[in-house]
Amino acid sequence: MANDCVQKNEINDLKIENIVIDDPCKDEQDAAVNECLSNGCSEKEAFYFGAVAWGNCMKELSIRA
Amino acid sequence: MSQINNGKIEYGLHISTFEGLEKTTRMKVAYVKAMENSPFINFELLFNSNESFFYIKDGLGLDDQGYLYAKLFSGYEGVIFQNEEFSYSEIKGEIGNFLIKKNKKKDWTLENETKEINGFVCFKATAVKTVINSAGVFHFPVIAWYCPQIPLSYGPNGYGGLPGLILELQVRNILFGVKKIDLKPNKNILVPQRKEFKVVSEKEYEDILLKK
Repeated sequence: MANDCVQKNEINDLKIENIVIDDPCKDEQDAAVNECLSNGCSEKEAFYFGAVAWGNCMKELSIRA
Repeated sequence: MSQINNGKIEYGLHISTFEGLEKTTRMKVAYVKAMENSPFINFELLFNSNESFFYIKDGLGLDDQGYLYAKLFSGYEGVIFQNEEFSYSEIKGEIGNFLIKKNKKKDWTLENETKEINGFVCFKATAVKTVINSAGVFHFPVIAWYCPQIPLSYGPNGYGGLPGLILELQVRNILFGVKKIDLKPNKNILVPQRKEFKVVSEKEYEDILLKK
């Protein structure tokens, strides 16, 4: 613990790593949006339909985890 | 019967299948839930001689998701204010608050058919709803039954522009049917005030939504 402390006048160059997490439900969302659009949904309707599909997918994944 | 200029109409919702639904996967599942829950969704239209206000009545469906799907597929996005020329849909969401302004539908074909709805003689009018999206251009039939005894150009879900109140409206596979008519010929129904949200067109709203 003492070794982690910054000494006076020292700067610890701490780099924050950017961790990119894949969106595991993006494909499901896109598939839902495209299905809706190809059946005559407006862009708005398809957007919301895709959002619900994404939410369902994430819920399913969290149950399985 | 004297002309009526004030009142309240309650509409029920009926969702049926559409051609091609059986070939879908996700929509088919969503539609089953929507159809089960649509009987639990009711709307109300308050109107006077100057304006109308259309909103969904509080209620519960069989399940939250089915209720949500039924609302989504009905095309209802939020309360709708109408005057003689325009309709304004109020949208409140994470991306902001807006009033989507649309011209009242004018390209109706007035047909010769009549039918009686809740004791009122109604006339048929037809139109086409065109949807243009990234997958193509789609045309869906619209059938409205309007009642000249209520000589106001309002109706459910922002539809109007006919020489009488619309008591029944079908847009593709979505039907708004009258459940209750409460007319007050000698009383002025007060319609809620429109909020001062940013006024946008439907296209502008879609662009904002899809950029988010």
